[in-house]
Amino acid sequence: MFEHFGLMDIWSTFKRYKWIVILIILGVSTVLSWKNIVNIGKDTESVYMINNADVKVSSASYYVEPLIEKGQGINDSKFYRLIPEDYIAFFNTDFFNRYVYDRITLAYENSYIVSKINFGEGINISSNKFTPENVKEICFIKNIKDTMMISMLCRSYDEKLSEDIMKICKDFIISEVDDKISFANLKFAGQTRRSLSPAQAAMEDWKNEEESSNIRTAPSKGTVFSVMKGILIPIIGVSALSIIVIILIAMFNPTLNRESDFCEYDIPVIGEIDYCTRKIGGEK
Amino acid sequence: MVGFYKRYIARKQERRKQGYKYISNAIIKMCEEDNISPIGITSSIDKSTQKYDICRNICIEICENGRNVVLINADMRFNQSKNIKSYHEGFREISLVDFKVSELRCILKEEKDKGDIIIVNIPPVIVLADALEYAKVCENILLIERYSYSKYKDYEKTILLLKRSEVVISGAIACI
Repeated sequence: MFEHFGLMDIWSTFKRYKWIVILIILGVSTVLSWKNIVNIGKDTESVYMINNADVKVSSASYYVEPLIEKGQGINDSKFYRLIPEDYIAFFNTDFFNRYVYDRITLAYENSYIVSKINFGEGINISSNKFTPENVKEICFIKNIKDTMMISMLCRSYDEKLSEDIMKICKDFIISEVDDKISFANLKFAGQTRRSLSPAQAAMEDWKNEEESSNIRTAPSKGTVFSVMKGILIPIIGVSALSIIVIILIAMFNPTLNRESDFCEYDIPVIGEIDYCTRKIGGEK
Repeated sequence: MVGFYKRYIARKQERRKQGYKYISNAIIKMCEEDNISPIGITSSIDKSTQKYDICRNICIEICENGRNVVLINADMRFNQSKNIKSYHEGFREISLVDFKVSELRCILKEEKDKGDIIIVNIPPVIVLADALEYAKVCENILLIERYSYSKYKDYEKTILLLKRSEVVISGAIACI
């Protein structure tokens, strides 16, 4: 098997089947690349379909006022800096998700809520699958760094929906959170409404700063890189497969490829000519 | 770009001509110095060698060297001789009618007296059984093999068959 196997043999086999290999590479990679590009296009389309409308944001800010006892100094500032984290922790519980889910589904239909909310990167959730877990994509709360301020934010494609969700969040703070934290008081700082374009909404950092490792950027499904990836990977894959097949053919079906192959039986090569094609009329 | 292609074609033709010249000189040497005639040309590949065209081109080259040459076509697979016109003086082509060994022997007997170089186009030995009989009639055999197409197994088989029949193999012509 390996007596007549070398680079020259592989190259000779490739030269013999070069047109077949090229056609297969072009054909298969064209089909696979086309499929990839169509899928990328569909994903991009679905992302931009949802993100076409302006995002309505309703936000509210609270100041966390620590209750300093008599005799306590301001030296416990490290402890006071952690108090806003306790308020934020309440909003990260399942209890909060359930609280908002129960009240918002009473006021609006599931299908309406799903249609007005972007659940991230073009994911379409059917109205049956809207769960309390999805509330995390609607409400965001964060502590402004090195301050005692908490910022709450609700976003959707419907202004009224955003405001109603914000109202529910405020009710939650007043009824469930404020009573339970005895060493601080929440003071309402103000509320505002905004309307952001899709590009502006994509650039906003909605989450808590400590959790903002995955900053939401504009949907990047249809970038040049992803398209090139979709084209190059099939080409490389099919080329590699073709090379493997050629190597196997060269290994198991050896051919005469050089002068030294004739010498095994002491047959001299008296001349080498280019493979000629048939000519009519007595010409060479 | 066109000029580059033309130069490439011209170089290829020049190389081919050089190859044929070299082969024809070797055959002339075999015939005149070693007194070998006829010379059979066969192959181990069934097709894709253009064996007949190579035989014709060798004969034309021998003719251009001032020798007379006879090409006897014993390959019954392709009936090529009907449409070919020969523009070269001193080059004759004979095709077998019944494709029998006795017929070939008769033709060879007649042609040997004329003193021309005789080349016999024999079909591949491993494809047709009669080819071995034709090869036995010839004093020497040349093999035409094509790089990347001639399988090693077929080549070995051909040589074994010829050697067992006590046929002398003078050399090989390689097609690139």
